Amino acid sequence: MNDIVLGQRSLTDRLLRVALYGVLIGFMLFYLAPLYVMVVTSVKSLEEILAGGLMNLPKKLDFYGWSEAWNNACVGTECRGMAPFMWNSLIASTAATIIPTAIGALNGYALSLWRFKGSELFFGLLLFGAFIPFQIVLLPMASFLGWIGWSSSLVGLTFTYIVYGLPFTTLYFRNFFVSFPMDLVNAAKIDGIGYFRFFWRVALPSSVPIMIVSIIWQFTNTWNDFLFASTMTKLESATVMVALNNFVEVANGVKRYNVDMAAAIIAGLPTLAVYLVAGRYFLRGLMAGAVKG
Amino acid sequence: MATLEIVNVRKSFGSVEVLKGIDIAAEDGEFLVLVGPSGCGKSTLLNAIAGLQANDSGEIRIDGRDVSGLHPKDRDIAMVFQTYALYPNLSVWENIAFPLEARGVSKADRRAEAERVAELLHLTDYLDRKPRQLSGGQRQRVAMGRALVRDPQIFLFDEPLSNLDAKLRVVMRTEIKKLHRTLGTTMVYVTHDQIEAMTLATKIVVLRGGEVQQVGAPDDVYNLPANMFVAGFMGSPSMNFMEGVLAADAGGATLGITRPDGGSVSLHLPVPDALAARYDGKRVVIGVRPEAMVDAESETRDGTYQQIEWPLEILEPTGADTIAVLQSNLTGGEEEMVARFSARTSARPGTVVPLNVDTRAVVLFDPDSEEAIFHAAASGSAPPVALAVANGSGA
Ligand SMILES: Nc1ncnc2c1ncn2[C@@H]1O[C@H](COP(=O)(O)OP(=O)(O)OP(=O)(O)O)[C@@H](O)[C@H]1O
Ligand SMILES: [Mg+2]
Repeated sequence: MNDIVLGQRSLTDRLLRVALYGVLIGFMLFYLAPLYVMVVTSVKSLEEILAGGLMNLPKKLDFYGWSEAWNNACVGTECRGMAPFMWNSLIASTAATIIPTAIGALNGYALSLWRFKGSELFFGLLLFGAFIPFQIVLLPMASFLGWIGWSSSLVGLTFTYIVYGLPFTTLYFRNFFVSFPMDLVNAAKIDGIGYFRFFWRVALPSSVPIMIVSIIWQFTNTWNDFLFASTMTKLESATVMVALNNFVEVANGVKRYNVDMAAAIIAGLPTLAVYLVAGRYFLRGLMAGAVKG
Repeated sequence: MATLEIVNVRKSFGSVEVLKGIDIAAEDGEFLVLVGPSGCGKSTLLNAIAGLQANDSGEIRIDGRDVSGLHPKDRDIAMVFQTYALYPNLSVWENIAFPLEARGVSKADRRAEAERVAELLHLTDYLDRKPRQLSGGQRQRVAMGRALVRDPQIFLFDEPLSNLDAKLRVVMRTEIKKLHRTLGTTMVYVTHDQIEAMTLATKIVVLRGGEVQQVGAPDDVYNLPANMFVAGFMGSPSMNFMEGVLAADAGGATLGITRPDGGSVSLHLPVPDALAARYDGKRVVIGVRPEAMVDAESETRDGTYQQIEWPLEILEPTGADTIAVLQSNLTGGEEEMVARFSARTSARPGTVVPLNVDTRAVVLFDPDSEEAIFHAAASGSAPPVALAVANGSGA
């Protein structure tokens, strides 16, 4: 009798499992479909695209879209391709990744392991910065940048990214270090090991997982940003996201979907690369920071 | 090497007073053990000595100098933590030598020092490993190595052995004792294990609820407990308590005890006349160590043993001897008493058996204050010194 009960259970078990995988695969296809369309469209010739068959594989590989996007895409009347804008984005995002991560690590370290009078209040105020919608600060920030002479420049944009990244990176590192054993700090205090030596030799090397989270967060957010970038830059200082928007809009006559799709893929490649390299640590770090915080 | 004095130290967390005026003095080279149940304030006191936590009032003097306002690093102490507190990303030798790094010692010299200390602690083969690649006992030794490399005035240990298994604990206990003998440095050692306290200490401090219950040599704390708490806490199995009524007579007093089964027995005790007169006709509690309560077959030196009969519940043979579990007559208590019977005892559980009680080792307590009023081991003289000390600081 026991066997029969077990048999039934394992049958429903198996059915449930099949259903579960079915649903998961369905979702996966749903999510991957746009990417698929982008990729196949980018390597089709314009005639083939206009002939219809959105989901079809290309009859013949055609890299016209890619070379056109990279070499000749136009912003306004200038047709210099994507490279200069990719370069702008890379400079802004790299600076806006390294600097807030470094400062956030020091902040989070101080706010969790070397608390001082008022450090909780300080942290609270800093957190507040993470929850202000960016639209609210857009105009004040723009006029502030104008006031110090950084308006419509890559420096001003990078500065903005750094300032608005700090609350997040600080939060990450603070929540990570909060679960750090306090005895380690106490032992260091007794043994005469100072604030910076402990940070540099013990705390920082132990914080690699959360550092990866901070890096991915800052890089993808600043790379993908459109709001700040579109308001705070002009033609020469535009990031690739702003430029991409212009490529697509500027085209008159027939829409060259293959060029647009290739440009969009190129613009998205760096964040994809960051994910592939560091993504393995991303979830692990996010869990460590979030659950123990 | 240094002396340590703790003078009327108080500490509260919010409205909870955790240290209620602690007074302790340790001589140069002393092995001072702070022992007490969980939550009695042992770690808090140790942290106050280390300077990790400021005390609210009172003084902590090292070699006569008040260090209360000093940063931990300026107190010249080293501490071994219960969690070991090893730096996970540093190798064993870097962990041991890390305190020297902050003092600007060159890398070659640091390595040499780490090797010297590792030799002492049998860690030479593990110098280049990371802490996570070590066993519990090895980690514990690394933590000790980091303290040793400093050559401090005072060592502080916060339950350093409590994360080890029973066997390793005994081994490391001996190692620590040897270390103290070799170095001769003053050590303050926190534990809630009374056996560790007895075996290691030159002086034991029994704490309870943030108050010192008794300070004394291990022998004194064991044989001349100041009150029922100390008597019950020190020793394993712990001291047996029975209730009775005292009646003054020639040469002392007779304690009449009513057994849990209704029968009655009596013991004659050589208490001083004044005490006998004061407690004549009053209730008292008698404390008898398990080893001072043996079966009729055990060898007993005549004169000091007196026989009573008591109902036996269970026998638990341990090989070397047999543990006899008896029912106590304490009011409201389901407390048990334990006697040490010989391995080949013929006593049968469920019957009333004869017990030989060594009256040289009994203690009498006032049942209301729970303070000791008579130690037979002090041969009936005035209250021992240890008792006076505890009374002085208790109130
Ligand atoms: N930072 C703190 N804030 C509030 N209360 C505390 C704090 N630290 C300790 N306490 C309280 O003080 C009391 C004594 O704590 P302490 O850690 O000194 O006990 P202990 O004797 O070391 O116990 P154990 O043997 O369990 O380690 C406990 O009741 C504890 O709850
Ligand atoms: Mg403790």
